[in-house]
Amino acid sequence: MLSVIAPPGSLTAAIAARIAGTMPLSAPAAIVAAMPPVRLAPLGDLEDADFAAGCITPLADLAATLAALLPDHRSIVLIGLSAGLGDWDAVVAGAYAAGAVGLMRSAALEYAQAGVAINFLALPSDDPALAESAAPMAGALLASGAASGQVIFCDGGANLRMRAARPRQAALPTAPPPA
Amino acid sequence: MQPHALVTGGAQGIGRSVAERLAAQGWCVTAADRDEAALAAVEGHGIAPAVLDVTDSAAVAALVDRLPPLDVVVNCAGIAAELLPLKDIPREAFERMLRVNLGGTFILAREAARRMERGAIITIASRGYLGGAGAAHYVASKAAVVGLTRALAVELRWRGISVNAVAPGMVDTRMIADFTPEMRARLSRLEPAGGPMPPATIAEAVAYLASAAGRMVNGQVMLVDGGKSLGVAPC
Repeated sequence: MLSVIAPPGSLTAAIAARIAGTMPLSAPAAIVAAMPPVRLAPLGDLEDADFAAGCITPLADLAATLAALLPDHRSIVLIGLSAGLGDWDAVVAGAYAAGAVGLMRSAALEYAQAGVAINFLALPSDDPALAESAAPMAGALLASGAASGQVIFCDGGANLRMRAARPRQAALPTAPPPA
Repeated sequence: MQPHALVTGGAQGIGRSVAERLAAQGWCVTAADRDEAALAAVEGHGIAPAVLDVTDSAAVAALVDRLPPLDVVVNCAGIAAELLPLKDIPREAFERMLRVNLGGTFILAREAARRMERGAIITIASRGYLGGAGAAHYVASKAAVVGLTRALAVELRWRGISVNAVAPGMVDTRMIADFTPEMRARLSRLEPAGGPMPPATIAEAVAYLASAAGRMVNGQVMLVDGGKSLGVAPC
């Protein structure tokens, strides 16, 4: 049995739809959305409410979700963003993703002896089209149970990040309105 | 001109030690803390006290507005809680931990960055950010502080502001004062040093990251835990 904790139409729901019924599960498993809607904005533009709604409340929600799934679900995959590594405009998303990973690792430690495996699949965005490339990895993590407490970046290597360092380009000036 | 540092949680534990360490090298230091009585004890010798609740963003903004320009901000204000399995952590306790340890760090960084020209922001995470059984709320808050630190570093590096985290192992502060002797002994056995380290050890790491040379370190987590995070059980 595969439990799906995700909003309809989300990337996580699309991943779950692709793998449901396609793999052998010896025990109940769960796939959980860990990418709440967040405000992507520079630090100075963020309000307290943006941070509370995009990070603090959803982290507490995720803890409650995991607590409800454990220990009956022996294999759990969280679907989240790779923003925990840091990125432009990722103050809220990055703090949430890193916090979710900390939560995941703590739950993995607490339930390791109960035979539970919990992992975090880190994706570059919440685009449902990513389901095609992410579903095989999510399915493998759920079916195997051998890996636990891990963050798997499923982004074609984008997290390697050996990029030229330069500030973000300012928006190009727009043409003056016609006279 | 004397550099100016704001240290939250500056009346006790790691924060107090950081305030004293920076003041000892001739810096002007503002120590902010909720605990007015404890603040009175650190006043003087280059340290000015300020009563502050880091979760009150209006108060944080007002404080930063009335202070001289900031060169360095160190967010030491934080809370721990009793060790509980994930399933037993009340929702309110979970959210409060996040509001103080994570939300407080966010608010201070935002209000400081809005006003800083150059300098360093240093957050205090914990070795626990790597995960730990029995403290999911504390771990989540500190892991998120690390994610926040990295996002801030990406954004603020172009303004000459470095943002780093120090992740201490077990430190002898009020945070572990409530531990039973048995728990303290059990946790001490996991520490390569055999027990908690003095807060001054963490203050040295902070002082380095606050220095001109240290500001070339950016977006990093400095683990100061004697190697406990290597994770191999003691023999």
